[in-house]
Amino acid sequence: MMAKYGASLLCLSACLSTSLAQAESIALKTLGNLELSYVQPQKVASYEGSALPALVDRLPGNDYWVSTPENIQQVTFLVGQGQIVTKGQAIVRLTGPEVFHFLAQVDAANSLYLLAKKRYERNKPLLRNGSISTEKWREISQDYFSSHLEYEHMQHFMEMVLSTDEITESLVVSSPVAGIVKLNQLNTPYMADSQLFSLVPAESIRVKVNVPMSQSTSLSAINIDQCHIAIESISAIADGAFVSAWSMPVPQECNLLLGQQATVIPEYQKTVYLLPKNSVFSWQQESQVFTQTAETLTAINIDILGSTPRQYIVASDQDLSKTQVLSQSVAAVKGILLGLGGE
Amino acid sequence: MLTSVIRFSLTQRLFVLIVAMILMLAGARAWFVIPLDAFPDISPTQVKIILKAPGMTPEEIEAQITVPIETELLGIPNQAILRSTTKYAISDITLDFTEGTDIYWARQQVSERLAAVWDSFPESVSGGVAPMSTPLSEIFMFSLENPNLSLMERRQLLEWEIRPLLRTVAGVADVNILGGHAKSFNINPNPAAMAAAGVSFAALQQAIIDNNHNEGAGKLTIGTDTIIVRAEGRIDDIDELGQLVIKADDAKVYRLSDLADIQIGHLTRYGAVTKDGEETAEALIIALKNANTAQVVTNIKEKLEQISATLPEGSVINTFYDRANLINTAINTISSALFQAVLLVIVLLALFLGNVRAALVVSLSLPLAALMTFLMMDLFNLSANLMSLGGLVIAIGMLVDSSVVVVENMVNLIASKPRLPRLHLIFRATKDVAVPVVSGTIIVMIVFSPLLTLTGLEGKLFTPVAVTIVFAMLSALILSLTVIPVIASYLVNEKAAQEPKAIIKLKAAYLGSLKTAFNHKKPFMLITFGLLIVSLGLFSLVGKTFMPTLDEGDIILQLEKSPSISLDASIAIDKQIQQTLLAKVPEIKQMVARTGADEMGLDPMGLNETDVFLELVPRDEWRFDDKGQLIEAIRNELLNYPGVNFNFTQPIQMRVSEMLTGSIGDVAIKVFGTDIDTLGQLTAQIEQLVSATRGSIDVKMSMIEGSPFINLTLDNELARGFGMSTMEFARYLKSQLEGVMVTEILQGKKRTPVLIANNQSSLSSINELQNQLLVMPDHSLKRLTDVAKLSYKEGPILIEREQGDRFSVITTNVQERDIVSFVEELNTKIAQQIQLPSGYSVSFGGEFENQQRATNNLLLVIPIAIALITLILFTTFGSLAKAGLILANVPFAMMGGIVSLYLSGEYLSVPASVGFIALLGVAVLNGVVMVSYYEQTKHLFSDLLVRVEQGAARRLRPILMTATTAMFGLMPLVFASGPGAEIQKPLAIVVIGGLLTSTITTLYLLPILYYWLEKRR
Repeated sequence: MMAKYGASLLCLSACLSTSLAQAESIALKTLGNLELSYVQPQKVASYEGSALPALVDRLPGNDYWVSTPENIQQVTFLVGQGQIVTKGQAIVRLTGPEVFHFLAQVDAANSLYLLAKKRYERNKPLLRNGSISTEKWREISQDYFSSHLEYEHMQHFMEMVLSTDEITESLVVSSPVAGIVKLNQLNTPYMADSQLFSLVPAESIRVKVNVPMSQSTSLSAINIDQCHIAIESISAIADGAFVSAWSMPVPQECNLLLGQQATVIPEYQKTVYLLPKNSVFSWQQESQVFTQTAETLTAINIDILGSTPRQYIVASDQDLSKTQVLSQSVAAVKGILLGLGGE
Repeated sequence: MLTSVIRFSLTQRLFVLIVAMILMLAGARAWFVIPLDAFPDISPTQVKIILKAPGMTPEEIEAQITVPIETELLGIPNQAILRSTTKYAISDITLDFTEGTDIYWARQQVSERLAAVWDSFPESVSGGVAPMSTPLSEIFMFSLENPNLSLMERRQLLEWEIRPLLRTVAGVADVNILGGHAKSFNINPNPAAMAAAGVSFAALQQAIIDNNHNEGAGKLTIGTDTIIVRAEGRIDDIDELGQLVIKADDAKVYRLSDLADIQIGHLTRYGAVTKDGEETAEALIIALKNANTAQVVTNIKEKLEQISATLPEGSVINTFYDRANLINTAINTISSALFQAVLLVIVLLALFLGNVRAALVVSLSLPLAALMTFLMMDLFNLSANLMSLGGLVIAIGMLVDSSVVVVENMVNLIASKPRLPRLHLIFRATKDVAVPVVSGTIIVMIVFSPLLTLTGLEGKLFTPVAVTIVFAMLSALILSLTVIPVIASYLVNEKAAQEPKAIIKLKAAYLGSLKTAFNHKKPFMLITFGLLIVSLGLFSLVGKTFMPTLDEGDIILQLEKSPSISLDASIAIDKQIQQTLLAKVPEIKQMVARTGADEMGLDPMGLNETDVFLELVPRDEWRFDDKGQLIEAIRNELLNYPGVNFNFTQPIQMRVSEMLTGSIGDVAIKVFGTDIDTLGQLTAQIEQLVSATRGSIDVKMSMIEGSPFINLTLDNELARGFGMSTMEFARYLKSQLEGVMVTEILQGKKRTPVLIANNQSSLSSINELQNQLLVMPDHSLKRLTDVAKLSYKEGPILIEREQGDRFSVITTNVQERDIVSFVEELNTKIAQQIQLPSGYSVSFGGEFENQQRATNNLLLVIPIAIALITLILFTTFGSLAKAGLILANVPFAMMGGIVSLYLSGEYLSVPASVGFIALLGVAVLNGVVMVSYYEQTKHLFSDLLVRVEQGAARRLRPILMTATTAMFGLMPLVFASGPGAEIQKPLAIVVIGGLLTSTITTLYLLPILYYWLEKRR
């Protein structure tokens, strides 16, 4: 029988090559007693695609950084890594003689600033009436602005200081904003300007997913476990055949952790059709279905985008929503195309 | 010497009777112990290697597995043919050895060679030398039905409870379990979790393998005791599997359940079983080669009865194939024919001899010869089957010939010389005919000796026939010269010697007609020779076939669907067809269908192929007269299912076809070569030539190309950057599609494979395959399409090889012309019109090859047999002319055979040819009886014509007796309708027809020719 198939296949390869350019059609009356049943493809506006790897990441540029103003001997973090903190919550205690020096520097900067300000205010009328030279005024002004900057710089840090303790020579730094704290835990000493911690605002925590370019434009959301998150932006710059997409802020109830690698199910916004898996067959390297038109079955190409356990998600150039697609005995009908049948 | 034997028998009558009694008892015992089967073992010494290579394409398997094995096997001595079939995931290599090669030696040779190359195979290859079975080995099949059990539970029961118990039955080679779901523990890795944990696919696989072990560590002596120490790590269940630590570092422990989903699943299915359209699981019991099939089946049934009691409630063992049915039917057919033949022969003897006592003496030779035959069959390890017992039926008519001649001469002598002592007369009567009886019997035995030279299927079938006939004739000869005279000495008296009135009248009528023939010699001769010429003309009109199809009583319906069909779709079509047939054909009791391959790979079918076993209701409930009509009814229903090829076969016929070269057809043209595409083109070209050659019908060609493949090629430059090798990539792909078995979990006697396998339903399109996630060896996560390119390719569906060369085949049947001229014409066409590239060749085979082989054998041996017969006749009569005179009867015997074949519509086949060979003996035997009497009575009659006429009349009774007993002995075979009858029928028809004409020519032509011959002198 295989031999018979072979002969028929050769015949087909020779004589069907032309006819295959157009759609294959089979008259219903030639299908004998084959049980035939049809389905109307279900039209849906979106569909779920194949799982994609994703990363819970922060939108670049949204982090808030806090650095130490001095070399610090002892740094004690008062919260856990990745903890969500509120504005003003104690984050770290800095301890050591440098803390005392720093506080003294703050006081000194304050005094210097006030002094420079007073001098600046006093000499301003004198400049107007020409009592002092322009050269002298520039010197006074320069002194005033530099001390102001120095003071403000320290004052900004001091705004985050919750408390100081002269006895233990320590101070406690609080969170300037709400967000997820990312502690910079070093095994080496914290030198001046070393980052102590950063804060990631909750709204900048997103899911970053690389999506095939062909499907990127229709990506509308992602599903991860029971969590549905809409896509906010899709990069216009490709990385190979993929582009990055960023989700909307991750809702807290999703329990996703920053840096977590996950697989997500993408949801694409595209009009597609759901078809039973047993209605699809392969023909000349294409996926096809048989549609019923009057008294014939006509094979048409479809594009399988994804699947569920029982159905395919397919796209087609034709509007399938009003067609009847063969869902039973498909393999037997394909057998007819191959020239099978009989003894 | 013969005289001494006869004298000894008659002087030691009691001793002879006691020895005869002992031999009879031994013969009766032999009947009960000789292996009983439907057919003789038709397989050559054959060793099969079946290897499974999951996921591998035919070309890969051929290159990596089939060719290395073939190369290794080609060195084994005594091999007849080496052939192989390579399909997706399966390599099936068959090595046939020459006749007489010891099967155990052959298996050992093959096993050694296989072991030598095993290390070079890919790691996933499994299998080995197939069980020691034959095409007749599938003796019992049943499905396990229980609506409360899932397909997996049924399979488990069959595999782990029933199979081990059935394998303990003596004679069972193996039990093949098919259908259902083979349970497995499936590990579905979570790529994201693995990437996060820094665990690669290979590391995951290795960790599972390394940790599922119990290892003996040695012994620890504690004081006066020694205690065994072992390292324990073996996993006992799915929960323990989940807790297996895959990776642990300073702070983190990753267990298998952290990195993968673990579920109870099943192995990838290569086939399924359905019963009346619903899926089920079945067991197929394979008997050992040379096992006593009937006994093995009986033992299996007993064991199944024991097992049934232990099965879960509601379980039913549903037997749908039982070889015992065929054996019983076949043996019943032949036993019935044997019984009827014996009865007919006894009635004929009684009619001809006109005396119950004399008839009884002759008739006693039948059971006695049969029992002695059984004894010799037992001694020579010949099984009782359709063919060997058929041989006995054929011989029945001839068995009595020796005794008929002896007893007939005895009663004549007693009647003519009533005053002499009876014992003396019996001695003289036996002695007088001893030489012609011995020479006649030797002639018959020589006549059948050419059958022993037949090889192939015909040889396997007809050797038992010939051997049994020789055994039976030898037994009858010994009895006729020893036991029969002794019994006659007790039973035959003067009354028994009186000739019946009917015979006297018949003789008178015959004598009158013979005189008329003598008076009109020339017209008589002209008519006779004219008829001979007409019969030669009829010969060309008789249909010809190689071998009639043996009716096994069962029907197998073979279905073939689109080659790339999925298992589910294939089953769905099967269900439709099964349900329709069950509804429309009430003769079908149940249908059990096997789709795809079995687990052992003994029958490597594709998912598109289905064998449906039809169990039929008893014949008296049929609407049809015969199986042919039933098949026609089924065929009509199947024609309503386009897109599906179908074919009808029978269980043994199917296996025999597979055992042979697979080239079913009158002529098979094999094209040998290397390149698949070139082979395909050449096959197509030759197929056109075959179709265009006059007489060709049913032209078919094998398909060797056209299977679609998806090729995934690793982007080496890119993949190497992540540390991914092609091997690792292939392993990963396999885990996603087929599943990779990494270890087994032992639970009691159950062994459950542990697979790394993807959830199949999540991967059912190219798009999904391309987007499948991979954990790279550097633990990064990539999509498949990131590192590999996808393309489509067409490749061979299967690759067939013979003697190490690839081949494709075109088969055709030939109609309305003889095959030899067809082949010659085709051969010329191929030589003229097809340019074979270097390394390509064409050879012819098929039934043509078998016919040629059989013809060549017979053409060589029959002349030798005729020469031997001539020599014996010359020795007997001392005249070459008289020997020739007797042999002249042969063409007229053939004439009857041809006419009877023509009239009956039977074909000229191997069994019919065997019938012609048998005729040779019987025709000669009649001539011997006639001419020997003429020679003996030379001194009694002075007038030649009177001698010839009186001699012919005198020999009428023995000639008619031998001829009619032979004819009526075969008559039951002509009218038999059971399995096996179709193969014996043409033989019986030829012999009966031939005997009819040869008896007439013996009674009329031979006396005339003898008269002419003697008159010339």
